[in-house]
Amino acid sequence: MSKAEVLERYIRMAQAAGTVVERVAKAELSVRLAALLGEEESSKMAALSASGWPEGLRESVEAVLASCGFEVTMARKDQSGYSWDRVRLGAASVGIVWCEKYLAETGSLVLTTGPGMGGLASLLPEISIVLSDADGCLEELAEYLHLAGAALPARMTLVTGPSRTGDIEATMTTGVHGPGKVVHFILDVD
Amino acid sequence: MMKASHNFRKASAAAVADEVLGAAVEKTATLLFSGRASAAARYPGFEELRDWGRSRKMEVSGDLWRFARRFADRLEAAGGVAHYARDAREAVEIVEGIARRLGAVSAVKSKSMTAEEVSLNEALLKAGVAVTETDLGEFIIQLAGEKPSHIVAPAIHKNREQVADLFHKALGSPPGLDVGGLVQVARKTLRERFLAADIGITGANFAVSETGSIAIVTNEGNGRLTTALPPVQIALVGIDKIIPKLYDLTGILTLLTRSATGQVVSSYVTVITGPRREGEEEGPRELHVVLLDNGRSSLAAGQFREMLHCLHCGACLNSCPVYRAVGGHAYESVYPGPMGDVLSPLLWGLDAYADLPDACTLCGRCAEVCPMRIPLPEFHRRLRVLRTDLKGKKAAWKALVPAILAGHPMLYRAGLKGMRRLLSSGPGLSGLLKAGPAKAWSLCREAPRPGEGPDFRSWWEQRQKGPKGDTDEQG
Repeated sequence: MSKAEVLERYIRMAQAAGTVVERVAKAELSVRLAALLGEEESSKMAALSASGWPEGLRESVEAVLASCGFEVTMARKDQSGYSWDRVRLGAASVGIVWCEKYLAETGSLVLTTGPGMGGLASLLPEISIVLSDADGCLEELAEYLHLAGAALPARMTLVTGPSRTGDIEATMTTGVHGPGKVVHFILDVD
Repeated sequence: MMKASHNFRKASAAAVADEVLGAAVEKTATLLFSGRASAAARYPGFEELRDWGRSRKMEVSGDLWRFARRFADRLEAAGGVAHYARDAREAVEIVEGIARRLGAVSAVKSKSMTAEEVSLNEALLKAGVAVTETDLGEFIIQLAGEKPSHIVAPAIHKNREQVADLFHKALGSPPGLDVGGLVQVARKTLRERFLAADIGITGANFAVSETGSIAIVTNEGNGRLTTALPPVQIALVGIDKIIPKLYDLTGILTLLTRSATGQVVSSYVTVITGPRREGEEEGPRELHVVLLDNGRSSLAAGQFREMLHCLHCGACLNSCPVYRAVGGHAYESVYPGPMGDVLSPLLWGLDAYADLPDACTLCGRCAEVCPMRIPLPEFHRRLRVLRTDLKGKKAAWKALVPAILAGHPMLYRAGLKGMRRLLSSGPGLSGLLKAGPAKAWSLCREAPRPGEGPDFRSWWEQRQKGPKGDTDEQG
């Protein structure tokens, strides 16, 4: 499969799992992100991962959030490492993180832990926004594990669509514990 | 857990008469069953994948202690703490001990049938730790003061009206909420408990021997929250959950999720390798993994070895005409349906669950859907034979049961001295084969067997010789 085919497969599988996938040119990200945030009517607090971002991207995301009237909360670093302000994190309705690799076979994002990586930002808020590069798409989990080799993070989570439950009369309902909506922006290298 | 004398026929009569239960179970089981069928059909090579999955599990069950030993070593190298519990009582004591040391007063729990098996919640409650179930289905039945009736969909027996009524009474939510409303009530209530909890208790779907990792699969995300927020995590893991390598996860995960719910993959699969690392802002500071034996290792050497391959996906329940007619509670075991008919007598004694091998029409559907190709109908049949053989040999059987369930005396002593000692001195497969209880167990199999009559016997043998049993629809 060519890279483009693999990416197409990812998009198909992720959409089937309920992820909203948007391909955007890097230059257009701010406009598209602002449009999405404009629809958001609950709290104006966004949780952001502190680290793991490509050069300068976090700052542009912060600028978009500010222009949409959002406050930003991030894990702060002190001598003992990163920690969240749990009250502000709890108030966040939107979480935004960077995701390095994602898998076509299952339509899954691979989120890993590490200092400041902000996994809670993609877990606690109602809306999870995830940003990736178009070339971060891998064919399958086996390929990811091969790349990771012995360097396993403390926690690696495959996220495939929103949080969901079928526990009452098998009626599929989203947003039970984690986000009810997952939006994946795939940045095309321009 | 052990029942004095479980009477399946009697218990199922009431269940069959309950129309609400019957409709609720049938609705969900049908959905899951057809979901599994189409998910399997859409995956090219699913049948080959089942063969592969079985072979990986065969490798582990053939040398259980070696894989368990490596798992414990790698877990501890990653900063986790390995524990070994020979039985339910020891498992509970280990968890209680950790809770006491921490002065813990509250815990959140991600669904664990292994914890149900050892009645962990009840024990922790007595020790002053309030445990909240966080899987929506488990939360519902905890509020209702009931037991799960399906290993994947624990509240399968309840309809929306019953849940709305329960939430109204127990949580003060408005009456008559729809499913979406009920889910939001659960989200708000449980989020507070997650943030306040001293301990996160989980099971594990897989324990990876090669890396000491555990993998937890959920759709709701409660597994992820339980392992991200509380400062301490305790995972209670049956030794049957071990897989050899991280790579094995790729295929076995597919087998699990497609068989359980028909999903390509569940919403969240978290692979945990040790506790939170330096500088990180989430995850437990202490990670304990309690490997539970509780009779499992004694199966490794015997004719029911393949029960150790069970992924607890629930596909056999959804396929079973008996389960679908009576629901889970009539089995009076944490493990209902075909896998439970076999596992319950093996873990807790054929005396206690003498009826369960009969809760089967030998239709063969369960073997058809089992991702690990466990010959469940054949195992039902063998248990019937065993039960008949032992009739009139009551005294001999009674003497034998504790010996089988206790495993080798060396295991017992070493188990008390802790994980490491046990695992390094465990007898392995060949040792178990030579050891008393396992030998006695296989001798039982060879005893004269009056059986179910020559017609059935010859029919069965004929069937075994025919085109491979797995695809036979009618039994």
